[in-house]
Amino acid sequence: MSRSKEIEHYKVLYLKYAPMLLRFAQKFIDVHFVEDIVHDVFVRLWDKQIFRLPESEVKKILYTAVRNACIDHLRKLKLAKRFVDHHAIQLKLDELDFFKSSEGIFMQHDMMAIILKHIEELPEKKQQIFRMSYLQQMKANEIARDLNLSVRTVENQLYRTLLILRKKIPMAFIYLFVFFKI
Amino acid sequence: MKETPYELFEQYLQNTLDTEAERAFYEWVNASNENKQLFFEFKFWKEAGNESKEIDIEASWQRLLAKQDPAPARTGSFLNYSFLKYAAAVALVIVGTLLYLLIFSNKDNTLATLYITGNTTKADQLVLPDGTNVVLGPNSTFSLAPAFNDKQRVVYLRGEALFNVSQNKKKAFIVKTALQDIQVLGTKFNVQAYPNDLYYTTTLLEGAVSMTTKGLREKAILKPNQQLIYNRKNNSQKVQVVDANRYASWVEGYYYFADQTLNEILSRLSHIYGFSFQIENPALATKKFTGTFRKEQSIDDILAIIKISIPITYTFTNNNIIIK
Repeated sequence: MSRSKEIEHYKVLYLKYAPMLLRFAQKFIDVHFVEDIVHDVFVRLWDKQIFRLPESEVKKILYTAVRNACIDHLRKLKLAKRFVDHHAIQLKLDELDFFKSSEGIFMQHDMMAIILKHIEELPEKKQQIFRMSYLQQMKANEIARDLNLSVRTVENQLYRTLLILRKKIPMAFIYLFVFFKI
Repeated sequence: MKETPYELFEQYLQNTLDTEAERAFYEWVNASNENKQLFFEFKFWKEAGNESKEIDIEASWQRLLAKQDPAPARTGSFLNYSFLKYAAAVALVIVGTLLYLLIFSNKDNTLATLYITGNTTKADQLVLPDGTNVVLGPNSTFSLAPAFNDKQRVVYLRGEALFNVSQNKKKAFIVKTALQDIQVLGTKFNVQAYPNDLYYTTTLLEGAVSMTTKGLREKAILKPNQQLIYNRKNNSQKVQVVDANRYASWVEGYYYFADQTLNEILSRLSHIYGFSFQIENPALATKKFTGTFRKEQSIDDILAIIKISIPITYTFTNNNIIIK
């Protein structure tokens, strides 16, 4: 796919899902900041090749990422000032909890171990790129620069890794995005 | 409470609960997970019902594109991660001001903008469509009436604000607080009208204002350096002459207390710092104090300073201060 076709595809997904995500985030975060949070999620997921996955999964991942971003935002607010309205913020965090995905995502340490084990079983190059992207939070162009590869190669490798993981841990695939704070 | 307090839910979501009712709300909601769930479900359906306003998603997309650097990176990647600098700016705004900007629909189905400031020691400044400058104090709610700048310029205030109204003899500028209407024609004045406070104070710096108070027949007209103090309990008001600038000093970071009782001072500080308080010794409540505090001072410092003049002991629990 050429760059401009990618952007078109990206835009179609944005127009389709952003309204729902903006409205969702607005339940917990005030409208002034909501757009930046959703934009941020879209940009990060774009860089990690998420949008090349099947749309039904993209939707779940988007939702998880926005939910996590809201939680982070509220936690930062909590730390911000001594006399901030802790009751209100805590209630919003509780509400976010109430909105766990319909599959019932919850953190389990053994899930994390299973996922890490599968990552370690990946071919060396793919594993390295995956770690740099998901664990070290590096951008595709930064990884490309470090490993002396083209950005396109990095992106394709990331995408193929996602496909492998999806096959190996179909049920737990979504947990990837809970654990790695996309 | 065995019955589900739908009234409380409704008012909580509209931010119209007073401190006591709010405490009751949190008590009920936090009593059990079932209670919490009932509230979240109520909130869900309420918000689903409010989702009539269209989001301009095309514009939103353009804003996303605009966050990218115009010049592409040397690797030719589409995304240049300059969005990060916007993300940082947002984080700073969150920590710094806690100014909430909400869009809501009023009964006429026109969109109005509501500004709410949080518990912060920074003031937030707004410029209205007519050029009027408004500085909002802490814990204040401010909004424009829908037809602002058509025939009149009507605004609503709960809390405190300093107004610098741009001259327009044809369009009266009216500030409506819970109990008073303040009409001005081009002037600078400070309004202190927190709904639950005992006193509502309007201080005039420049120009002229005419004030109408609910339940009082006479209108009061203020000239510069005059101050109207309305006593909510007695439903009485009086005008006194003051150095008006000192009552607007809060926008520059100084809170000035002129011969005020401990009760009044704590009341004012409670809006700024967001705590509740009880004075257990009634004799202390009426003791007077004069002084100026800087915004950055912590509440501990301020109480320590007050302690030098008024013999108080104080204990903090959560957001509550008990004075003996």
